[in-house]
Amino acid sequence: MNRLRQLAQRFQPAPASAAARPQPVDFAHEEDEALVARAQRGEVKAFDELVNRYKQRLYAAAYHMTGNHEDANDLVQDAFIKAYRSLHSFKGQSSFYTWIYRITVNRTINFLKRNKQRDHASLNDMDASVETDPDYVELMSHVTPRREVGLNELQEKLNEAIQKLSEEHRAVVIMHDVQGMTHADIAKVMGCSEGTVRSRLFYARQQLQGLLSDYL
Amino acid sequence: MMRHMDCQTAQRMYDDLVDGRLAEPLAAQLRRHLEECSDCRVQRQRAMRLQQLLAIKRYEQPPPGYFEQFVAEFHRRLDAEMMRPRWWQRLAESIRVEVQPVWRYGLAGACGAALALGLLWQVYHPAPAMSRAAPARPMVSAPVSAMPPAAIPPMAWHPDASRPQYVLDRINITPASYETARVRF
Repeated sequence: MNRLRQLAQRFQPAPASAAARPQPVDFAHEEDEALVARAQRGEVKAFDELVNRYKQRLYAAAYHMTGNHEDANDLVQDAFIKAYRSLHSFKGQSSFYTWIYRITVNRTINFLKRNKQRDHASLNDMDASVETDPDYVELMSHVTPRREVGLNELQEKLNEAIQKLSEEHRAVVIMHDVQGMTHADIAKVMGCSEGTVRSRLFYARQQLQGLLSDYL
Repeated sequence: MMRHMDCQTAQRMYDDLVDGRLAEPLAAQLRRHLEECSDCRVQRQRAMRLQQLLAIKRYEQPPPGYFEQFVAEFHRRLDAEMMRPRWWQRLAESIRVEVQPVWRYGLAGACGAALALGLLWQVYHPAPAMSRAAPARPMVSAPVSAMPPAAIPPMAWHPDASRPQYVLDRINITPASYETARVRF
């Protein structure tokens, strides 16, 4: 009987030491490159962290370009799915953020080109804090003396004007003037030169100034 | 002496001036242009207001709690995408012909008959064994004068060249007649 117990003890797995036990990974403090490498090895939680990191900025880009909440949601979800399925081909020539941003913008531009006749805005509400923004206060002080303009009207007119721009001009003006990206970053995302970005920005603004002359 | 800047160039440089990307001599030139040109000042004001107007869009927010379900929604869509057949599977599905079981035998018989006819046609109308390509021209490896007349390729003759003379040409040979002798009856 004792012999049997000894044999059982021998074949019982030794309790894992504290060092050998896998530690829970804190993805929130990992760099993008490390998360991408983990995701490429099949750690889905690492990709979830990347989704959490960039979902809001990508959503904002798609939303401002389409002017439609539901379309923006679909486009960003599709972009993340496309990125996840193409992760093996991501070699790190650019940052993950530039890569996923490029996927989102390209998908949005293609979507807009395919649905040119679509005229279905679904605008999000304005955050109440806009009314204390110095830029907004200054703008309204200039516009209001001429005629009464509400925030909702301003939002609608602005959206209508943006939707009249070509897809590429719209993308550039949203990335620069709304999202605050530099010319160099926009050039990387759009796959064109900085000169092309500047030129597109110039013409897009000229067009917007013409369309929104009542509010400027 | 510093060259005057035109209005369009000045308008294209506003961004760089604001972002501090212009070299000092060029920035000074642009500032002086803005002081002197009232049209450009007005244009600059309008451009600044447009940027203020566009900045309002940053305050547009999705419904509260929208992003809380984003990752869960991503996984749901990813699972659905993984289950979806690939493009070639969908293509194969779309071109598959739905045939009633009764007609399947008929269709199979027709295909078999067509195949048998094709084989019979091959048996009774064999393809010509010889190649249809033009026969290769003989290689001219020896001097033309050394060749018998029949072996001289036609293109070996130069149009201006005189006909080659052969030994047999110098001998006056009356060719024998192979015509059968007249028989009187």
